[in-house]
Amino acid sequence: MKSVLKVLVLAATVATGFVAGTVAAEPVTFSKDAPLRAEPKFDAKPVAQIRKDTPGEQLSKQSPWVNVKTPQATGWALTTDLNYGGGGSSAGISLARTGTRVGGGSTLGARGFDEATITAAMSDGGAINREQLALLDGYVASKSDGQSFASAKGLSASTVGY
Amino acid sequence: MTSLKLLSVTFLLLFCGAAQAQFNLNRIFDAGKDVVKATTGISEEEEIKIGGELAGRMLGQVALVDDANVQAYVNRVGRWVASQGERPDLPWKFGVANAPQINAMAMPGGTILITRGLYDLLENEAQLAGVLGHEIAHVVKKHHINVMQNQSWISAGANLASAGRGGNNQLQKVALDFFKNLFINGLDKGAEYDADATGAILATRAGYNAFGLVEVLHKLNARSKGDENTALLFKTHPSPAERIDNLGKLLAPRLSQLPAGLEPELTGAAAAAPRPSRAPASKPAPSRVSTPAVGARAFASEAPATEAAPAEAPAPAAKPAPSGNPLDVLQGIKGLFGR
Repeated sequence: MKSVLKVLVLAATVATGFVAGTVAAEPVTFSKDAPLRAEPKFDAKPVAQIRKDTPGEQLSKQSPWVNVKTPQATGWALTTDLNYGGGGSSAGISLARTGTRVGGGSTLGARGFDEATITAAMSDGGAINREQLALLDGYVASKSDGQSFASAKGLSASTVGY
Repeated sequence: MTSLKLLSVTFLLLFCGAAQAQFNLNRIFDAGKDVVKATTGISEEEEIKIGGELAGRMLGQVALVDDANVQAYVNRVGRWVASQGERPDLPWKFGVANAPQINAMAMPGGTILITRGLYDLLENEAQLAGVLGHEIAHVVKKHHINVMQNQSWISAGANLASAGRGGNNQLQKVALDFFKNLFINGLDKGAEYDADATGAILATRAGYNAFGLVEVLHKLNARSKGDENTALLFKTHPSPAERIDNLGKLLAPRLSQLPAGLEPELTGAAAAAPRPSRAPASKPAPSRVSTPAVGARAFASEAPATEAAPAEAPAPAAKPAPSGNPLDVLQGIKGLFGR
């Protein structure tokens, strides 16, 4: 029974992309003293205890676990024990367009979500865009839409306390 | 009841006759009521109305991204995550706003906007669920409403009382200033940490990897502190490193109990497109609805920034539709006083 379950879980995870990810080597730093483990499991044997600020290199990832090579050892660290890079873009960031023209030459969106926009929106002269609100309403998903969507993706609800 | 609150109420009742006539301030500041109880009496209907009008004001400045697939997709993910919380029956609405900045905004009552810049940053659906979970948590926990109830309306009352005239307009201005300051300066750190923790659990309940939000925070942490696209986000939230640390303290000790969540690919596929009957009559869904949009690359594949919107795509309003009352946000707030 257990093996059947394992096969099912494996099939589901492969189908949804939840697999150990091979990612480009990326520099990391330990944000706290933390163990490196032999496997990406909370109860796996620690292979080393790494000190805060120790640099390392991410070799692969299986969230929340990251395979890290350090001067001391190579093993699996929890993602919340690490910092990435510093000052640059991390993997997966695409270049965002700016100042997109929408609506017949309007420059709506040129400023975006910044203090000036919020100030203008909440000022005496701010206006409600009812057409945009209608668009927003048109995209709404019902509770059952959400449930159907989740079922199709293999997502199931579980009880987890806060 | 504190003496300060009592004083504020007394001033309000004494000096704001005009405002009372229009907003029936007695409804909240009834001398016979316990003020604390009265000011916590914002109904769900009133909350929804306030949030809708705030969203309308933001959309008066920043249009939604013209991609029906992505908008519908984000609504489905968001609705599923919101269904795991304590307010599953709110009229949840999610929109991706066409802004390069990396940010998101939760309005009272269940309207949530995330920026194109933030959406572009995401690598998988668990990360999207984590981001939406954080915003959903602000609504579920009524963080904005609580601030309004606990502080501003008492202060507003005192201000009105001090002014002694023009209470109606002043009250409206006070309300708008309140929300402006809240969105520009942010909630307190405790509320943000609470939203992180609650949001991560909501995403986990929905079947996603509990660490989706952590992964997004790593991306934010790796960006330059001088990046103008994250300036407001960094101003209104604790540092990403602090937030990661806080989530680690919550999630790491519970690893053995947390379900193994999934990390589906981001897909704005046709299956997620809105049903035709749902598209607003005056604004049909863009023709790009049939074009599969694939996750984070969806927007990048669109026309360059300087190009006009494709002719076949329905253009969002060239300018915001004029509101009958530029202070319409107070329509909802008026309800607080109107019964």
